[in-house]
Amino acid sequence: MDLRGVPHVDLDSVLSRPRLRDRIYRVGVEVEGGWGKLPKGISALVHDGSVRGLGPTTYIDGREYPVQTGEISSPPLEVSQLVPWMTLHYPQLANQTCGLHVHMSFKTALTYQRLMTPSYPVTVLEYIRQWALQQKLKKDHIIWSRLKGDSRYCQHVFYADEQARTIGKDHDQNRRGHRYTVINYCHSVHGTAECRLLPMMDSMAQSILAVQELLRITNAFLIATGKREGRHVSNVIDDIGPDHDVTELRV
Amino acid sequence: MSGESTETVLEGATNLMETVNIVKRGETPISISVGRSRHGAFLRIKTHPMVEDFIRALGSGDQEDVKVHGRYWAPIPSSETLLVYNLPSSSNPGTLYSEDGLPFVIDKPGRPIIMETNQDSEGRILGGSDRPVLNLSILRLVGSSEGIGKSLGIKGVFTEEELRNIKTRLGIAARRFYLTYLKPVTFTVTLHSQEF
Repeated sequence: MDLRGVPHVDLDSVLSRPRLRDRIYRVGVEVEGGWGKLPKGISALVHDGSVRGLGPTTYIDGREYPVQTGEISSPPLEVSQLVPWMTLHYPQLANQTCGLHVHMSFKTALTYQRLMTPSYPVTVLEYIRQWALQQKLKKDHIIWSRLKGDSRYCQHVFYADEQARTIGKDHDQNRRGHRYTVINYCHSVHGTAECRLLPMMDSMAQSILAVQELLRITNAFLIATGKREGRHVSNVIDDIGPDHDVTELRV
Repeated sequence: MSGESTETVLEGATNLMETVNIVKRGETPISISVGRSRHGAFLRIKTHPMVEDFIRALGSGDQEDVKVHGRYWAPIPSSETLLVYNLPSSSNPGTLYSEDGLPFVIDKPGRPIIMETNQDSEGRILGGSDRPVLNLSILRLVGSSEGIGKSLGIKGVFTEEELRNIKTRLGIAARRFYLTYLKPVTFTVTLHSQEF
């Protein structure tokens, strides 16, 4: 389903509260970029063919190092562990080809399902747009093209049910149910909802703020859209009585 | 032969049917309620005793813990155990098709409510038609005709629209199953003699 024309949910009054109930159980972050020195505990990067134009070398404390490009994925983190992890693992180099994917998991399937509505990715788009304006990001910043729907890695379509049932990971960006959407509902693969909207920002601090804003928007959305779930009933009714088949034979 | 005679071929069977549970006109032989819950999907199935009798008679009547077959179903309340009637391969109707042409099965207890057919066991997306199979194996639940029926949670996450679709498909598939295997049928054969 195309997200164009889908209205966002108004979160203004919820976001103005000093504290929001945190329904996010664990968060995972994938940072992309270039490293001259790999973080402690990381022996190799995950290859990512979309990362380009970094290196070939970089300087750390006056010494030149060859740049390795790729991706580092965090384990499932408690929200309080997000900042320390990103601080330790952030790449030395990043550019507009680098994405910052965020995975969120929840304690119950019901909370997850409440995000399975087109208004959730549309609301994320609207409030990240507002955040980007507040951050005064330049007009040529890559985030604007992602917010517009110009990125094939972050398409403005909604395939929640198909994505949730997909147990593999393929790279087809065109088939119905592919994973390259603003929110990828990869429940069967990771048990998470993945936001693919954010690029690596201009600094580590700004990237952390972007992720924190996404979590805040998600919690606010769950508060603003809370309602009792309905039940749907299907009855088979025998309303014509037994079948009576009559055959007449003349002898 | 002279005169007319009308014989209801299944008169004896009709008498037999009167001694067991039959579904009267206007009754609801199968009712299925679905919703979203902390488990994923919530389902409640309530059947007429005739339906449960039929399902039991497909096999030996033995009951199996649904966990033997799959881990997607959870009893509600959690203190209970979900049991299903066994279904030998000789009685398995295989893949059935409802009036809307969509496939359903009753041989996958414990498995997801909707099963993808366009993925292999490794999860790679296959080509060809994408016709998810509906899992109607909840018909095999022991105790579906007692009290308010049987309630269970099934792992999986769904949009509201998808859940409504599932509800509709469950109803259409259950109706097809009932009409194919359960709806009472009376055959009457009349022999008329002719005078020459």
